[in-house]
Amino acid sequence: MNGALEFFAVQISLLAVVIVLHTYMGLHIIRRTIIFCDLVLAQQAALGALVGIGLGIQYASGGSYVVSLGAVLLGSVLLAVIKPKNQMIPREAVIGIMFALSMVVSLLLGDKLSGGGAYVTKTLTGSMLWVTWKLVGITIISYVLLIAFHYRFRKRFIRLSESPGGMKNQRLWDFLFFATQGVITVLIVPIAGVLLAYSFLMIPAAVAAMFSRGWIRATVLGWAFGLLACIGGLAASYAWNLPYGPTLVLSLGLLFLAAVVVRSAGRRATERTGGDER
Amino acid sequence: MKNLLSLIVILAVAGAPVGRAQCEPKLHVVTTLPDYQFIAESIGGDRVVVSAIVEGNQDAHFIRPKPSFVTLVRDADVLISTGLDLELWLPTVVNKSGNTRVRSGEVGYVAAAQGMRLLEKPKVMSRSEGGVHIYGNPHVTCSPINMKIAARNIATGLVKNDREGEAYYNENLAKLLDRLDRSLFGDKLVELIGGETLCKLAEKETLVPFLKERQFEGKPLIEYAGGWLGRMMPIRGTPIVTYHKNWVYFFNLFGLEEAGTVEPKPGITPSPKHVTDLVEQMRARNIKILLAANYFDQQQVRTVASRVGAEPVIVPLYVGGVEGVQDYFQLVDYWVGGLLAAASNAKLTAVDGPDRRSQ
Repeated sequence: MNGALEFFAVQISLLAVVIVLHTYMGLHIIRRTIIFCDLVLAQQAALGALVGIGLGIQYASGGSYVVSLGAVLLGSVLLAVIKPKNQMIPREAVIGIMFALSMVVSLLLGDKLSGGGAYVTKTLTGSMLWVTWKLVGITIISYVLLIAFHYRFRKRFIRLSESPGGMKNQRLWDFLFFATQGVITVLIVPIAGVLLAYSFLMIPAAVAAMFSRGWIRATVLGWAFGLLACIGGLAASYAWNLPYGPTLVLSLGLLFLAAVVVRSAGRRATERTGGDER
Repeated sequence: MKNLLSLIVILAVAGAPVGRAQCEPKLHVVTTLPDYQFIAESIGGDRVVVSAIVEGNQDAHFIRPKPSFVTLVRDADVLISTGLDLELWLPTVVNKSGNTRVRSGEVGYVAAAQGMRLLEKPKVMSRSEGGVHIYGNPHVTCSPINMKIAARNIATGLVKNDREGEAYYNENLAKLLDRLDRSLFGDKLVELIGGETLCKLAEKETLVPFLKERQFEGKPLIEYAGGWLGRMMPIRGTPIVTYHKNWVYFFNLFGLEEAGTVEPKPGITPSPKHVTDLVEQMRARNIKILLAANYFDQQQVRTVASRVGAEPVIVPLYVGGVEGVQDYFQLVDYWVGGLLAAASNAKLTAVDGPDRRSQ
């Protein structure tokens, strides 16, 4: 296969699978207003990978994924358990503190590891440009299993996001939600890095949430818009010789901006005609 | 009491010469790169205590200054750096240390690259060209010939700061230079032509034609080439892709061709187009070796290599960058061994034979 064609095929296949699950999870996170929990889990995954390197485990190997998984499961337990009773301390503050601590420990660890600085950068920026068909295959299989799990228990997860009050075993379902999010994070961080992974999770979901409240419709909208924006970013990166990961983040950012403009214009038009906004 | 005092006096007198020898203050030398540390230790011997700031597997461009560096430099009698724009973080450390003696231009400062013939001097000064080095490529340690110049500069610096040790330093310098010559060209060539002449010819890129033309005892001199030069002859002229422009002096010395870099420009992240073009170029030209320093992302190097069936050669750039590479001789051995093994695995040596380069 032609080099350029192969590159586009690998990337679009990966993006198509990644964005569908990330949009769905992102919708949950937006509705639960725990916006930064993904950043915490992503940073926990990165920290786990760095601990793995310290233990002599090669980055992005099977062993590295296991150590990262251990770190995100620990983070998931903390996220599920820590709910400050003091109203002056919102949950987001705890999430922010967890992120800052994970980040700082990663930096300190990176300083002591052989080539640690490069690994810390890599966990932040990822290596989307270097994915192979094998990695795309593994990611697709893992994501399909996770989608099946969320589909099987969709009623419980949706209730958790919409009206958790009085829900039976709420902490368990909270933990399972964060744990599945953590598994996704473990898979995506070595590929996309913490920053791009966060963009995949939040931007398509935020755009979809502006236009629809239905779960299926919003997931499809977010996936379609997110994928289009990423393909645009991919093409721009290739055509203008731009760094790939940052260009994807930028194109998703432009998508968000365009959605805000369109939504505002739509709202103003509705107000002018005196119609009900739907 | 009287006996005790006598005993103390006797012990003090008897121990005095030994005590002086042991307590004689040593010259505190700080180097940026571990390669200069090795050179300074080889020349300074037991008259110096040498510490290096950069570790062998770190990128000397990007070192985050730490308080411990400031302490090291504050207590230094001599500071050795490349003297180009490689260690751009160093002036901050020197300023923070308050040690005016080791500032650039002062008696305690040694610029190792002083007097070297620098390559790749930029024609355009623009940040859009990537990490541009205004004096030329600063990765001078990759050539043993440059390291001979560095050794002379370091010896001069040690003598300036410790006049009493001049003879000792010069003796060690001569031994080190001789060992570098013999490791580079082999004993026979050094004895026939002399290390200095060989180095001058190599710097002018006329050494190999000279050795091919001239004869000794009925055989071309090239057949007497030993050391790293002799070992590298079979892959001379081989096109090699590198990750960063680390190897220009090494390639120039051994007649290798830098056929491209994974970075589009020094310090610039590879873009999809650049990587695709590079892979196609490697396929078209059948380039089978990809050389990179081990502080770069090894996954990137292996991915590009695997796409074209090339051999990734990932090596430390500096002394101590990998276990078993404790001095500069072992470091160059590691580079040479890695490239020859890759060429052998890629069947380059058997197919192409010696000296594919016209030089």
